[in-house]
Amino acid sequence: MRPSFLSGRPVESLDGRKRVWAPASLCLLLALLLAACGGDSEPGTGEQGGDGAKPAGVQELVVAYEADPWVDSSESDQKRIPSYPLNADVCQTLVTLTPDFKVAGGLASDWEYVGDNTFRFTLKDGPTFSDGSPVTAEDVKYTLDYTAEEPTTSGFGFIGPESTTVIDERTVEVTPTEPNLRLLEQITHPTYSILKSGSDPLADIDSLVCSGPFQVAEYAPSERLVVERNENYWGEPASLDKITFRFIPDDTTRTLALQNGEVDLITDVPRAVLPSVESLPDVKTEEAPVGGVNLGYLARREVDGTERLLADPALRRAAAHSINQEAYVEGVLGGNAVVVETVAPPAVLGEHADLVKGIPYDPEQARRLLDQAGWQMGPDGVRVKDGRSLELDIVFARIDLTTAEFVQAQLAEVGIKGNILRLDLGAYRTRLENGKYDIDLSVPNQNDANPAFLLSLRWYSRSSVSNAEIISPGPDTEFERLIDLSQEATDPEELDRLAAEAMHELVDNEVGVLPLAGIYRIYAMKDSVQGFEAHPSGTNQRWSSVFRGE
Amino acid sequence: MTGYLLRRILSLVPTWLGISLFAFALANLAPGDPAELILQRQQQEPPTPEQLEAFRERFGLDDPFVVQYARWVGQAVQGDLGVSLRSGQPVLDELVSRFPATLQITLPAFAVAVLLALAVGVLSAVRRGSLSDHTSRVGALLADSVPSFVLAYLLIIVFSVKLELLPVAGRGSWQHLVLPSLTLGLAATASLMRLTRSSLLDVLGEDYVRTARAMGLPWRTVVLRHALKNALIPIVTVSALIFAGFVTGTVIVETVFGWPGIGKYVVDAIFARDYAVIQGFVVFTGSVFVVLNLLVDVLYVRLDPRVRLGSNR
Repeated sequence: MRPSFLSGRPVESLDGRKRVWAPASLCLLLALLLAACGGDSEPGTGEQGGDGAKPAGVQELVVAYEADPWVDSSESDQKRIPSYPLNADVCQTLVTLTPDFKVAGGLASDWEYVGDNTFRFTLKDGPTFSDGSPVTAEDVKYTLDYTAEEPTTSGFGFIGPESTTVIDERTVEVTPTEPNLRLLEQITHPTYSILKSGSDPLADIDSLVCSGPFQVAEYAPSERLVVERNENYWGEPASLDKITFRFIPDDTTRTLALQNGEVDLITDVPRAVLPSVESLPDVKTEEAPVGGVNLGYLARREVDGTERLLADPALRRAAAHSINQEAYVEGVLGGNAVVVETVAPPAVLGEHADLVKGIPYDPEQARRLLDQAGWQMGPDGVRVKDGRSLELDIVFARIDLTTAEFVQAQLAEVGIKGNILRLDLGAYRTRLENGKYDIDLSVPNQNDANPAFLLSLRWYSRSSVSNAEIISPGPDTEFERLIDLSQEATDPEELDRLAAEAMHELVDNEVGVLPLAGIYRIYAMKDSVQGFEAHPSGTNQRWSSVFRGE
Repeated sequence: MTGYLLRRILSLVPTWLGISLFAFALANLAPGDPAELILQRQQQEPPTPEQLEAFRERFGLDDPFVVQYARWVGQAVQGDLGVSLRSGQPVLDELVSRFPATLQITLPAFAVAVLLALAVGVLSAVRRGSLSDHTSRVGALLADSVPSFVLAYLLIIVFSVKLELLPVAGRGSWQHLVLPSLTLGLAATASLMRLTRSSLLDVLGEDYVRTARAMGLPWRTVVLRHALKNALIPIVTVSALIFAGFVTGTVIVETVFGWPGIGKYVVDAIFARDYAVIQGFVVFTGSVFVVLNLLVDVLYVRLDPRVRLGSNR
């Protein structure tokens, strides 16, 4: 029986949740137990819920976010207050991202590729800004020019200051500065939300005028963002009069604030505290569809071209066979994740997701592959070849330590020693930049409708990023050919298929990555909060349908 | 007194320069390319080589160390601590905008710590060996043993969740101040209380105290007017250090209570390798320590004239 990577006890004898939720959960559990002892009184000032769907009298909501996303943001992100990264439904995009990662209409009713690297967008007849003025093509041009001033955000959409042309009052054409047929999928991202001409939220938050169902009432950095219903909204008006987004960085405090009734809804509930949160009275949880995947990026070469151990395809395949994804999901993530074979949420590939098969958990096959590659088991349980020990550096910065420990334990079972390197962001980025690692554990999220987004960004050798060659299969490979084709596809169905084929090539044939689990966001809220629909992309979360039931 | 003060102020200049050099060197010698790190963080995607080059050029990160340091010191003495690499905003503005929030909890916390420590410490010293002495010492030991985040959660559970008297987190009304200030203050009370007790016990054993009592002065007057004044010198020193620690080290309390102060802002800057903010913060807090040190020296003179006489010899 396989021993636990933490306790040494057989895995089957352990409750996965117990061994994972280390000190933080212990602390929260203690806190909640203490708080729950000996009292039935209704806590705090929160409205007590029922399951009725009738709006209550006071339509106000307090939402606790982990941190103020703009405080540490660049000027370019601060320009987007409050459209990105905390989407408060104040601003709207030309096209939107559906929960199944498709493109849908937003402010635009029609869009088409008209050739010569140019997209044409026709605005709906009717959208107005919160001041009552109509949304025009001039506003679209103003916004895209405004965002193009910042090279940090215009880099991937390739929208430059001269890219946008007004055709008539309701029509614009956008021509990226470089060939980019994925523009349509990219501009579903809220970073491309449309502002009224003259809005400059970076200089003055009060100058922000947008077209969404809410408008900004107050912003106090690191404290709160308050939005109120836009009475001039051109669509179905929001049910809530006011939403206060409060920034509370500590997981336990956020949870206690929910219990106390000080806040009505908390976002991104850590898996470590989920069982405790679920046990709170008058509180329910909601899970979004999968929005990202825990991945192990496999480095093949350093930035100077020196080959790493995982340049050997047999080693990459052996490593993939050694990972038991089900054990990871159940044991490490407490069942609050999904086994996936893809590197992005499967939904982004539509009906073609099944093309990606994944490498099955098969430690025996992993051992055979390593034996065949000449790696013989050493006396200390670590394989050696020509005097070299089979050791892989596992680096990470933001992911949980338990994930790294899990991967380390799984590799150890087949004779691979994993050296865990938990780094601060500076050292981590330096390692990634130089290729001084073997496995990089990370969780990329899918926030736009481009199914080949991550593939073309991270593994494509001609990617605009500076370190793609470290993990890329390399030029003149089938993977690159498929990415090239996907970049040129104009039919959405064709794009999905090509992205799925490229992902199949990367995962199943190249074994260029270790998908560990599909991750979804978890929200907890008072029972009285109704109409909340969790979006897989946190930056695309909408609030206009939410209301407080009686 | 004026000469003494001038000498003390002049001696601060090399101290401040040392702090600035240390801050600048420390941030620059740390691993990690700030351009790479910050662009990655801002974009959530790896930056292109062109973006990296533009960023380094914009912030002068490709200049030699000495050039960067000289430029920075020259600007710092004019009140310009540079621009945050992450937000593009002036560092001094960002520090100053957060400092009032930090002061808002540190001042009451300091008051709690000093008043409680003095009261309990004096009581414990004059009633040495009594039940109240033992109780306060055990209490101090407990307070010292409990990490501040545990104390914070306990206070939240009791006063916010159970009694519903105070808010859990956030900033706004005076009620929001109570729990963060109590957490900070109580954590510092224990050591200060023990110091007050031992310092006062030393003084109470002095001949002049016995003489004062023999002359028939009331015990309260002897303790509060004569003994306590002489016991205050080490207490003042430690109090200043505690206050400086409050100003610069409130990150846990700020995180737990969602308080928008300077501590968490700087810790985030450290993890993001925002050199400009790290350097600015070290110089800022170094200056706080230096000024507090100066104030303590002045207080010494007031409390013990021998300090000034000694320096004149």
